[in-house]
Amino acid sequence: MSLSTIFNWEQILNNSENIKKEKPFPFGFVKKPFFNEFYEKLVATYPKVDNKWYIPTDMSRSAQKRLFGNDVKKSCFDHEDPTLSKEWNEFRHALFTNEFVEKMSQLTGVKLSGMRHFIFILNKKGDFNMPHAHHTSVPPEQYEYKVTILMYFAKGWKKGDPGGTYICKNEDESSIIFEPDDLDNSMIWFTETPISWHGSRYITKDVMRPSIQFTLQ
Amino acid sequence: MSKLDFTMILSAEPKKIFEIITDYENIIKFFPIQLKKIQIISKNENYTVTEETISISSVIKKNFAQQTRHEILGDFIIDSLIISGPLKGTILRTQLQKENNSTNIHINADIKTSLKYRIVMPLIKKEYKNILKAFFYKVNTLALQ
Repeated sequence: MSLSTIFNWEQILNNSENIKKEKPFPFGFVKKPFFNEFYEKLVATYPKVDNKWYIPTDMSRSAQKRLFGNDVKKSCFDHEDPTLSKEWNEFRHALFTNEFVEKMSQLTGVKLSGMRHFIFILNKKGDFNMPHAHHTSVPPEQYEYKVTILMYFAKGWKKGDPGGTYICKNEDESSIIFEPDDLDNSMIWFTETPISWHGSRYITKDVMRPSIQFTLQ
Repeated sequence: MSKLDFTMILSAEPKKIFEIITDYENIIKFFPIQLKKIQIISKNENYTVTEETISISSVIKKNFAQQTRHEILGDFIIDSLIISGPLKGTILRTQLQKENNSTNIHINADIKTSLKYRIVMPLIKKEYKNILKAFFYKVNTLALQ
């Protein structure tokens, strides 16, 4: 399957909303990055919670996470996960193609060379992620990756509900400047800087937020 | 000296939240990486003294031990005074108040550190606030189960 049947590049590259090139750091939100037919298959076969999922022990967040196949937490490589659907494996292969990396460079304005890490994140009632930045005290030349992307698969997400990855000015939740309100086939990306503060508000309703996060170096 | 004052509104009952936060030795499950050990070393009708072994690697990277004296002042009000360690003299007041179908959690802290850490106090203060908020979110989730 080619990238052009998975990703709606016209939508991703030309219809991104809220792209801020300067302040406080470059980020963007894209609705409907997947073609609907493929998206529905990803939603239908999003991995079920089983013993492959784990709960991070980080004190500043609550979530469930799952690696893809034989990936490790801090890096990923192009291979198959036989426990996942054909569509999830096709999608994963697509992320490792030159075409995908080039398109993401075009979207973000950052010269990228490839994938760094990939993870499934399933948030539910009671989950949250306090404001944080990944590279607060690391010189740019030592960054592990340059761009972080989250893609959402939450069917029927109600506008305004807490749970989407927000962008904020500093490490205080009161400084939120953007929070996605549509998590049903959408993605948010941001470039890595010392002030790339982000997080997700405490989920108060009985909802599920199936998502993935991946980074590009 | 640095003051911290904020309020959170959560949905669990104050009684249940208070039971969890005063179950001192079980607080370790909220911070399994950072809180290596916590034990009650003395207790009387007025207060409880706990000893904590803490490992942090953020603004300050440090392993240290401290003792904290917890005093329940009234219905759902508790003062926790750190009596030894690098944060000696820090006092945290936690006050829970029921309001309609929610609980107002009012946190008031006076953070003290040794001289060498005062330059990073603004960062410590912000991080301390986020840790406390994360703790109460997790407490609320547990209280609702």
